[in-house]
Amino acid sequence: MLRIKRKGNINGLYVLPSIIWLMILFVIPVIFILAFSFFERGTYGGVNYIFSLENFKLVFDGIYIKIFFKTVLIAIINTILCILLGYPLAYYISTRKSIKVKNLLLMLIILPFWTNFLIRTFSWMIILGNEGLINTSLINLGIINEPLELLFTPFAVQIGMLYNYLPFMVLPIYASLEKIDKNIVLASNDLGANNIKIFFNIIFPLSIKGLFVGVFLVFIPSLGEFIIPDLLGGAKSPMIGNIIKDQFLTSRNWPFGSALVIVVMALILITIIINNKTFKRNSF
Amino acid sequence: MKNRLLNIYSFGIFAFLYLPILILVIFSFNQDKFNSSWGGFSTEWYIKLLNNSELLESFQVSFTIALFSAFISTIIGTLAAYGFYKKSFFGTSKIKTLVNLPIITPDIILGLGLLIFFVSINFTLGYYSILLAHITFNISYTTLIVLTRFSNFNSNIENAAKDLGASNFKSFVFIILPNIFPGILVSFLIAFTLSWDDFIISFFTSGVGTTTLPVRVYSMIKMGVNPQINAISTITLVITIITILIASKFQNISKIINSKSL
Amino acid sequence: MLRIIELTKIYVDINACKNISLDLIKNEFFFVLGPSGCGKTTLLKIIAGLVEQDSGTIILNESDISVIPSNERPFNIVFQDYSLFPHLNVFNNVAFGLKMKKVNKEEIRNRVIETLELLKISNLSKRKPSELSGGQQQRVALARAIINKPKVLLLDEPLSALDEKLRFEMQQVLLDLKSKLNSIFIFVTHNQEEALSLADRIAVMKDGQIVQVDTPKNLYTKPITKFIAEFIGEVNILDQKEEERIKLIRPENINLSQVPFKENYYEHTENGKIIQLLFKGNSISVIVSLDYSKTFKVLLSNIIQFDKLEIGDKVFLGWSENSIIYVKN
Repeated sequence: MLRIKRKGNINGLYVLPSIIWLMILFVIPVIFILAFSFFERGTYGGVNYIFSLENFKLVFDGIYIKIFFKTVLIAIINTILCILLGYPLAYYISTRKSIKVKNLLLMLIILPFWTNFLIRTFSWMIILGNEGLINTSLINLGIINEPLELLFTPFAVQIGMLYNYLPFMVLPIYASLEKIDKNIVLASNDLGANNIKIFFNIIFPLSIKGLFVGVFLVFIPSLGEFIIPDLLGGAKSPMIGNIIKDQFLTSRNWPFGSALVIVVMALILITIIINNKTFKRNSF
Repeated sequence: MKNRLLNIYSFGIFAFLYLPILILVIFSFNQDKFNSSWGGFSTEWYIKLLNNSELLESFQVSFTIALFSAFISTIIGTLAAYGFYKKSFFGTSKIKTLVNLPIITPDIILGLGLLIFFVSINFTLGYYSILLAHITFNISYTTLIVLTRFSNFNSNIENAAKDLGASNFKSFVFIILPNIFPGILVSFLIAFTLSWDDFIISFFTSGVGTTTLPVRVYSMIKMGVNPQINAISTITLVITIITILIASKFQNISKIINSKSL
Repeated sequence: MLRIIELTKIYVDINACKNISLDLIKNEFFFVLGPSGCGKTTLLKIIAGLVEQDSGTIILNESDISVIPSNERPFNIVFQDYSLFPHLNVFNNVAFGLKMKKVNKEEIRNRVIETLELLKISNLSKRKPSELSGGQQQRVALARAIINKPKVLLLDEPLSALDEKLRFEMQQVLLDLKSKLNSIFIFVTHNQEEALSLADRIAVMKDGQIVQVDTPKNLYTKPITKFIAEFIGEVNILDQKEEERIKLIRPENINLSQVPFKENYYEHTENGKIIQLLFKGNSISVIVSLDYSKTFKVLLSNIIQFDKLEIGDKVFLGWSENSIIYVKN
């Protein structure tokens, strides 16, 4: 009986470059954020490497908590709007008969998905501004005399968010609709259910997984959003992302900024846990 | 009746998605300075762009960073995907999670983390800090894309190659690579696009001297509405769209997104 | 000569291969036959070098090749799904092995043309695998393997995916190669008909172990265990009270008559009623229910004689002592 040991398993080597890279340039930076959140702010905007919980105490101060709430609210509204507007669209695409049409429509949804957030947000500035498209058209048509204040309002922020995040909700819902076995629908038709009943009892429940993924892809990034409130909301409706950006680039209070980031990350983690638990309870 | 409603509704949503971009593009050709009244067709803003040396420099910065980061991240990602495909090493699922994390991490966290990291180790913020940052987030995507390609792969052909005398290296070069090539190409193109369009991470990691194109556009926007912004935005959009369309010829992009989301 | 000595491979807690020992010689069709999951494909892969054994030795012509990696073993395998390289045309698929050995271009060209002609697929040289039928793909897979003049040729279920006609053609191709190739042939299959028709020797494998190695004839007429008797051909169980001495009889060895046999004509007789009758073209398969709730399957080859048989008929069965097969469990 011979015990053989051939060349060792080198398969792990192939993933090594990516692991090392991500360790150094992803994991460690995130750890740095965590570390900085416990440091003191130094004079002239530096950092004192002294342990302190001041930053977190400040986070839970009145003003910042208000902004956190506002941010979560905006994110929730955005998610709900995306679901309400996105679901019918996903349903529409998945019920097209020709595969070519489906792919074309899908491509049309995906294209904005890949283009620049900044540009797409800017396009709403042109539309909503005081000298923007809507106002100029309404004035020219004589409907109003003074420009409506559309830009730099919470309304503008919500529209901008919806515009940017809608594809992220449509795609996962579409994917889960596609997974439903068409034969189930046929079978229930055969058993006498009308279209509305089929939708609410069969199609919608089976597509819930897509909804959960969509919440994941919409709600969570919405929490960290700052471009849209920056360009479309002005100073009036900052989200927590704006405050964080300011701490880092204007106020130079990196420790406090880091603490804010950590709280956002905690919010995200909580969302993920709730999402997973609710999903598990609802899945069959 | 219900179908008609759905049709109209869907058409409306597509209009909602595309009109703002179309308006942006159309007004880039507007003779008038304001984005509200049409003063006639003109390409003057594009010509002004060509004389805007800062903008041209940003264009070059973005383009080269996109090329290099796509190139490097594709290599690292392909190797990683090959490693995952072989699957037989310790801790596979934990490492897979690590590679997937950057995708779900909001850009602001990635960007700020890198900012803190670079400054703390006294690494000058500039061209290379942006490049390193872009490679970082691209690795997750390139790995995922090439890995999807591997899922359609008949693993037995690697066995056949070995049986016929190919070493591990030769079988990788002559058999595996040619068969996953479309995936490698697509991941390169998508990494290019992601880098080309990135704003947030570049914003935080660029420091003072170097500006990528999106960051430049941001400062232009902050200074006020200006048709040059429309023009450069249009060019940016066109480059992105062309890249995505080329990529979609090689691999069904929607499948990637579907597999990523589910 | 290939000697396999006590080869063992364990996957988690399943014994894929347990102490397998075999001796194989040239110009012989050696079959490893067994049901799905018995470990035969694992054994094949271990011999090819694609899977590493946990213990055991493989010796080729006096040299120990147990630790030599697959790309250095002078063996070639024809996979069940052919595994042709999708991105290469037929010519390059077949040439691959020679290219890996750094044979010069001219010689590669000549040998490829020669091998393609041998397998009658010269006209497919420029096609890609996706443009070939199943039978064509298999010939290419075979060509790709034999061009390297391997000392051992391994074939995994070579005939299973083919229809009747193609199966016959491929059998002829293989028999033709037997004399020309000067290699050891090892086949793996679950199909006992395939094994019986082509094999010189068969090793029956069950649950990771070799149960019996013998010629097809001996396996059929003198199986050692009940499993083999049932796996190769069909049997009726006469008596299984004693575990070490189970009595079986094959359906074609039972004689059937519509009238009682002459006294002592057969050592053993029974009678019963026909409960099933299947006309199979060149034979009739009859299931007879005996008086005490046992059924026998009888195979009749004289269809003219038994033309008038019907379900419900009372019939008499008889067989001689020496057609009984004794097996252990």
